Amino acid sequence: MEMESFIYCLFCAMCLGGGLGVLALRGFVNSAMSMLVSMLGVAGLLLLMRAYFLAFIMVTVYAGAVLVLFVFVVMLIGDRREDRSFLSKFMLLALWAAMCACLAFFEPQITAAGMEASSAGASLEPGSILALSKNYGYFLFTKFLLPFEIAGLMLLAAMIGVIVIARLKRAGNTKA
Amino acid sequence: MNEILNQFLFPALALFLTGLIGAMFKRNLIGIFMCIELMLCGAMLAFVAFSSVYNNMDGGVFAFFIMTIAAAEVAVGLAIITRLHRVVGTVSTREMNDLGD
Repeated sequence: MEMESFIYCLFCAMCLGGGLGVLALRGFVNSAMSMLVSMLGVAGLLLLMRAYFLAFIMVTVYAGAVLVLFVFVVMLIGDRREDRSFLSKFMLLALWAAMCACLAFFEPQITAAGMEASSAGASLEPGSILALSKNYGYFLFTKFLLPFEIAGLMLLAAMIGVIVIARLKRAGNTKA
Repeated sequence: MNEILNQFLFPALALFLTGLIGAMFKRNLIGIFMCIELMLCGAMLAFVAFSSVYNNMDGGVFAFFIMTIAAAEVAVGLAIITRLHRVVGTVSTREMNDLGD
């Protein structure tokens, strides 16, 4: 249990530190790498919740595909530093710190109130259903068949949309 | 059980609020986009936390859909950003103030 709480703190720190890096760092590539740290932290938290399949997808889709896409686009448009004064950076950090403090203070009470309000039975052994990859497939093709089809259609629409955007001629390039 | 939900909802909410602050205050489109990704991640973490505590599969499957949406959104959004960069010549929101001049 000691070990698990230590690992939990580690992943939590990765999440929050990565988020802070995305907020505070000015270079695009630096922000992307911070986001990578954050995503790996989230994947670790998913592992702690015994959602092994989701953690795997998280690493492959987010840390793999999405982040590579970000870095690729940064390469296309060129890395540059965000124009920002010291004051606004300080304000950003202060806002973030205040948010974290508020959350750490109020969040347990909010959660407790929510748990009281919902009287649904909760299991004492968390995450056991999330551990089996078979459950995802089963629910995707039974209870969530329609959302699954819609998601597939949406991916197709996104693909076609990206192709159309990329192939647009330079008609709108008259702006000075 | 309450403690389990607590300890996983805290990073979820923190990640969401971090993304929200960034989406409001960052000054380039790529940064804003990354912060929106962070918000999606936080929402997904909350889904999985509730799903894990209540031993209900729905949240896990919805986390799956959130990832699908995030992937599609990133593809379209980054295409628009590159297009915009080609037309306008910048990705800074401070310099995209043509209507304000």
